Amino acid sequence: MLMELYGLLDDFPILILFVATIVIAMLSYEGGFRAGRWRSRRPEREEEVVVRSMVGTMLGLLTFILAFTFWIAATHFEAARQSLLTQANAIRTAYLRADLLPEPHRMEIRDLLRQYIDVRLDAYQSGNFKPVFPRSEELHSQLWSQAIAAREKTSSPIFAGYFIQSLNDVIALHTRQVTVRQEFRIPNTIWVVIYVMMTLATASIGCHGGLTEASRPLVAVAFVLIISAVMTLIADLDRPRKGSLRVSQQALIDLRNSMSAPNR
Amino acid sequence: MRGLFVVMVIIVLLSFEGGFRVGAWKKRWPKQEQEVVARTMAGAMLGLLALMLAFTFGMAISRFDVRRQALVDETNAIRTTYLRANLLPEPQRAEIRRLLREYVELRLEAHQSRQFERAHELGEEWHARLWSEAIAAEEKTSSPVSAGHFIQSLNEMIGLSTKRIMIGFWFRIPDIIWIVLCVITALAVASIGYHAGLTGTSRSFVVLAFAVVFSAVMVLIVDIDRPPRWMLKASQDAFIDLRNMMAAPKR
Repeated sequence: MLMELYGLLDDFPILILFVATIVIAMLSYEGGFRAGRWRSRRPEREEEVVVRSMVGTMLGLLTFILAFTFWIAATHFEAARQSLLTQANAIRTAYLRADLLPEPHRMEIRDLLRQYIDVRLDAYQSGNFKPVFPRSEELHSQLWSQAIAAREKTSSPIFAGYFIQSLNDVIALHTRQVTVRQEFRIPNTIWVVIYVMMTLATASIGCHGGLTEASRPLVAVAFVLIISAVMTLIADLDRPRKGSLRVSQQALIDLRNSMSAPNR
Repeated sequence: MRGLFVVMVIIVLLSFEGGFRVGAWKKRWPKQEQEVVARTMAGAMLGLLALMLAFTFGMAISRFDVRRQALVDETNAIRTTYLRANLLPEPQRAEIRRLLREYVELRLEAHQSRQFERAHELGEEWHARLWSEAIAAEEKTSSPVSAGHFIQSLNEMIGLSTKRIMIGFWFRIPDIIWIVLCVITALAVASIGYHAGLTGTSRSFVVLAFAVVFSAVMVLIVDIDRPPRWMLKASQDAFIDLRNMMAAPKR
């Protein structure tokens, strides 16, 4: 089966994902319940105890898998925040060190660095990340040629070297940021397994309920809500561009503000 | 903190009571429900809740160490910058040292008056002033390599200051995790209540212990997650050390 590696759930808005998960869980519960009731009316009866221990194990496994996936998503989230902060600091250093270069390259470079941040902030605001990567590459090469030109003109090549060092950091951290964003994700296969497990586990609880030949338990609603809430939470943390991570742009915003201040 | 704890205990008890009443009401239905089914589900929900709380606790506690490290790194960077100012020509050397002393004073005052926002802004201003002094020194110096060392440490100091503020005040547990934790706590507790109501027993005393334990863990996580008081104290101590170091050669 050919599949993209990541981003299976990215196209759904988070609320729709939540509701859809609830609906899937409810339907599989109801299906299981009906199957169980039908089974309990057959002449050769099935003991409820047997089903109970199997359901218990399945639920335990589902719980563990969900909790560990949550942990992984939260760790990725933290890593993305950290790498954003490191990137902001590298850009700040390059911006300051542009002072070490002669004019007009200094102004040129500062302007390019401002654009470099704006591209990112705009992308976070509009949610459209397609232009970020090619635009960054372009800005990198422009910055680089400015740096080289400045080095040829400058009277103190050592200082130009310091700037070049910081520019290299900016470029390297961009690459790392892209990796963190795109590849520190929960793979699609895990999502498929989680959804299959969730469906089968809720169907089995439903079946267990049906076998006891009693009315539908109201706790099932709470159960479905909890499982769906946790799954949606994981999906939200796992979204590099839409979810809660958008909140953490503060480092870049602060940096942008400090950059434009002297120019006003 | 204490208020939060009381609120949490009340929420847990109310959800239990709500679930209990629904369970008792359901028990009177003509077509009865078996309590085994409710028991299995309530057990699974509590298990998930416990794991989620434990993992969130793990997240919060690991950032605790990161914060401490960020503080140590920043004070070290200020110290290095101060020492490397020696590599610069006069009058920038004296000026930079004066600015650094003021910077440390400023931070200490901010701690005493708890005006962190303002300290943050003033800090940026001092960074800019230090930087322009460094550039002035660079233009005059006869030994660019040494001036370069200074510039490096100044950049590092500025970066670490931003990092400490970001990690301390902005890197918190995301709101959505709190929302989900609260929702699943309420629902899971309501389900135990429901189960208890179905069995037709009277309310158990254990619920009280249960409410206290879960609320205590939640409150503990909140406490670890917010900019902790010990950190303010620790950073104050670190900055007092710095001030003493800077004042020493004068005596």
